[in-house]
Amino acid sequence: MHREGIRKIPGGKTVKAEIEVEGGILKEVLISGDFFAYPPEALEELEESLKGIRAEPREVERVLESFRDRVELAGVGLEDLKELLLSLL
Amino acid sequence: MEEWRLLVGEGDAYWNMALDEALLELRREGRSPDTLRLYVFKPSAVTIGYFQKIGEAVDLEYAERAGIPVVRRATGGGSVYHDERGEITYSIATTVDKVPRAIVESYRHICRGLVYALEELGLEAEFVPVNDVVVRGRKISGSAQLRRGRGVLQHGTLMYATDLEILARVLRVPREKLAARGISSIYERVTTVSRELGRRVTREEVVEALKKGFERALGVRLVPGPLTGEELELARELVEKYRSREWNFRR
Repeated sequence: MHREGIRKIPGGKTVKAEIEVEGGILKEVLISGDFFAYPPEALEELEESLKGIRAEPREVERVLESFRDRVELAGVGLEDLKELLLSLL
Repeated sequence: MEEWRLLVGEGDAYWNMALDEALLELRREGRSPDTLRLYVFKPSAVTIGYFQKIGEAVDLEYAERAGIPVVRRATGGGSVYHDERGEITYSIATTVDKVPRAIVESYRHICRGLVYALEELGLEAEFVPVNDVVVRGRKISGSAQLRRGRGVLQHGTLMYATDLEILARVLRVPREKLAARGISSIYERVTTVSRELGRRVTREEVVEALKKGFERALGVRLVPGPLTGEELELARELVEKYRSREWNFRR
């Protein structure tokens, strides 16, 4: 099942998340928007790491937390991204 | 006083993005000098941020019809319309030790060059985090930065006479963004140097102002210099990526 959501950060940027859930598993994850990620590749690695996990808040949070030291976001925060993803589950 | 190389030129969107990335790569390896590049997109083009979905950031049908190429940048941020007759793009290739470590502070530091350039042209401008410069509350410039290893690339736009009607047609702004700002018209959100001054400024005036502005902001002397053979060679390799559908349509 396809689900998507958008967060507009007041005075900041926009982040969109799209997920595909199949049999309780995250099959596809796409994060897009006009924000910045340092380094950019880390955000793509985050997307990859989310694929294949159970579509449950605890699992998603665990993966996001493991990226806290690997990626620095500007324009949006990791917390925004977390809230957005959790809202889709 | 420290000297940085100044490059002034023009090229198509693919070449411009390829050359910026080549400068970053070679600067990070210590094979290129600190550089400020001022350039024009010929023909007018749209660049989109690394993480944007091309179909959501740009009206592709209109771009196609109007002959406006669309290219994805290596840098994040939003979509930009680069008007051949109304916009100058700057890019800076340097190393992390030359800019503040904190991301927003490094944007502020480099964007001071734009603020000073606008002051030179007679406008009071202000940096608005993360990456905008505004005049009387309207965006006149946006920047995007990428760090790789010890290399830093920051490029950005300065609109001096951009056709805002075309900009409004070719760029798609998410409804959420308009709603959050409580403003619906692009004319109320963005502006140009010519519009603010009430006279048509020339490309040469703006290039000169940017040169002075960045010299003051960075505390350096800009010295015109040529591209190296190595830079041209790497840019020629990279340009294929920027021309590819695979790159531009990856999101």
